[in-house]
Amino acid sequence: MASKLKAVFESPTLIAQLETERACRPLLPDNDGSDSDPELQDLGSLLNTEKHIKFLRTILKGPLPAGFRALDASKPWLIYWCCNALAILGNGIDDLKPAIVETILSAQCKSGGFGGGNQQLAHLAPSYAAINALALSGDEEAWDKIDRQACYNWIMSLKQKDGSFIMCKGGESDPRATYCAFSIASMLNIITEELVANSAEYISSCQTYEGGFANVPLSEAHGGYAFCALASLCFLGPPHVVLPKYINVENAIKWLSSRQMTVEGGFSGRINKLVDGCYNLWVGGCWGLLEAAIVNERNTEIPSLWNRTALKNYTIYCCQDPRGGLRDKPGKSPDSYHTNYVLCGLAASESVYLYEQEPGAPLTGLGEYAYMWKTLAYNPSAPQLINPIHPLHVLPVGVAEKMKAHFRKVPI
Amino acid sequence: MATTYDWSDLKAIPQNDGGKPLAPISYNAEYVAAMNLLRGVMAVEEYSERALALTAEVIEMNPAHYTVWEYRSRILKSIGKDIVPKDKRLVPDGDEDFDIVDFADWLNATSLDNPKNYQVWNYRQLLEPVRSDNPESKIFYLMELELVRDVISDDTKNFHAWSHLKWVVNRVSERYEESGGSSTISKADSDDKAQEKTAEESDFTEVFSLKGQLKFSDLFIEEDVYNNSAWSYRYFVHSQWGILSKVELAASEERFNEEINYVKERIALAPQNEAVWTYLVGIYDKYDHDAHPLDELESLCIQYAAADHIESSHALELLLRIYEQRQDKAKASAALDTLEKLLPMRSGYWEYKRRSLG
Repeated sequence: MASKLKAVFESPTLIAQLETERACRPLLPDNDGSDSDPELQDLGSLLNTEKHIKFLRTILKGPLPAGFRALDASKPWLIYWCCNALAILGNGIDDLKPAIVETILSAQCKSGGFGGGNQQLAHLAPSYAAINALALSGDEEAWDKIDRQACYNWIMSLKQKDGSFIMCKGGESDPRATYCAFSIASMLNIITEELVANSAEYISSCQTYEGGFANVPLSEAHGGYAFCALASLCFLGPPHVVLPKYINVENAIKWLSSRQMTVEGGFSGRINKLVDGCYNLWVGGCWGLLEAAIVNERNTEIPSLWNRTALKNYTIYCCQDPRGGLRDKPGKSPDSYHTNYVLCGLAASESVYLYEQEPGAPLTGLGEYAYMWKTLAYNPSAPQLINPIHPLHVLPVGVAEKMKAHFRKVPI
Repeated sequence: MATTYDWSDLKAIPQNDGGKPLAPISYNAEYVAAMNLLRGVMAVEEYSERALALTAEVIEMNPAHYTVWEYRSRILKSIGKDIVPKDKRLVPDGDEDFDIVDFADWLNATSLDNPKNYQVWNYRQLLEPVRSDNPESKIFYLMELELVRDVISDDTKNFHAWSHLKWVVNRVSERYEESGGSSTISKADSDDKAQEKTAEESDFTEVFSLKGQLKFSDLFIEEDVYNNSAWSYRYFVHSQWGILSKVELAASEERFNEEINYVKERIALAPQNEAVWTYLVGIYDKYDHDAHPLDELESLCIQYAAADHIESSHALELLLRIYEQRQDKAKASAALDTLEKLLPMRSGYWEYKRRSLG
């Protein structure tokens, strides 16, 4: 809500919004809000890379205080968030590989898939994180210990008639589940027509009148579901084909654009909610997919529909905790979840994504669409603060590709 | 407390996440003991009173432990009716028509303590009665509504609670409106036997109706006109029973105007409110375009986005859309000029819109 505009009605929403603006404004550099890069040269030195690395490595090393038992059913997530953030910060994780593999494989279920920890029920969310973490390990021997056939059967057991998936046996269904299922099946090379049947129609039904996406039809649009929905569709075809076919692209763009806060420069996840650094990726990650759709559809030069500089500024000046780690907003404590997704959004702000199906390329079927993306620097002449990420798998460029290449050789 | 039971016959199973796991947690002794027992009972698929007590203990320590919730549902499905006394159930008196029964006090307290937890809401949906043709099943939905109200009163934008409410209403509609086709309230109005209904049943009919649920959304909009969750819910209610439902479309002119007036009053209170303008456009997009084309909103927009006095960027954005539709490039372009000055943060988007004008 721009301060120039009339907003007289006192409401809890407005009070919280003004408080947030007051907390952010003094931290942010003075600018006119336009998307130019006068201070970019300085930003590199302002990203406290070493402190963030230390923060992440402290979590991985543990032991974490007893209160962390709240994450006892999210172990693969902890490992993915920390290792992914380290990798995009440019901190090698070779030394962690044996421990990644050991911890993740201890969460694999006999029935297929992975649980949130040892001897827990298989669940799509930790399975997604587990596959991403194993991909980050780069350990091909470990990859062969994934029971892909069981994993496929398990994912199929979660599939619902309407094309959605439930997160686990007896669990809830929403676009997160679709995204996790597709991402896993894509990297393990077990995606089939049967697995994706009706899913695009289901995702389409989750787009709301606001333009974003909800957990179920007619619920409220939310940044997290928006990324999951758009990325899910992009596993099913080229963005300029699947996005216009299944969603109202203009409404989606309008809603996403309104998520960028006029003072803070970061994103909110819902209409009239506060900025939160995790939407750097959940909202910021949507842009690359939509921009690629527009480039290919209209055959134009690469547009930048959002304010990349403002997102960088929000990241650098508002999300960094002085002790290391990144956070939701000033006043909040950093954690591994926010550290990863704040940084992934920063990576998205530095990249443009092109979907290029090279003429004569042999593999263009289902399961290959995720691997036709090219990542370029948005501003090649500027120093890059962070390593680029894959637009769908949210891993450093090359990591998902390597696992996919491995499993192309061994069909189930 | 699970610790009050005798576990000496059970082989507890320790956690085994490798020799040197990453991100190890220093669990306290109580959690370790409970989890070791849990792995033990789950391994032998024990469905017992002590296993149930154990699941409650673990959930209280870690409500995000979805594995425990799933196990709890299986225990209760198997023996819940034997061990949960009727007067302590979520729906008192409910019996054979419930697949799973649970302790009301415990579940409600756990829900209120953890309103942002995915598991608790999904779990409550598993407790839905199997059959719809008994009074207890109606009480179930009323109690869910009550819980949602309690949660939202504290946390007005709780995503899970609003979503759960929509689930409740959907289920009620699917179960009780299949044959009638019209809204519950109008059915009750015309039904001679309505007077014979119990107080609970007429309460049910009134609550789960267009009027009842618009009133519910209004409660929260009155409290905070910027609450988009409440507006989103209002849109849902109109899709279910109101002006966006197939039933209403034929004869809803009056209701439509009523609703648009409601919206206009709230725009007047707070013009710079994305929630209300988005809602307004959402209604128009879904409603009969011939009866009410979007560009009938032009004068409303101009009221809040006059060239010399912009009170609402959202009004101006809607105006832009109206000009785009009308292919009035000059006016659309002028609107874009103003938006660019007003909201330079979004200059990339305005530039995109400008190029789309051709």
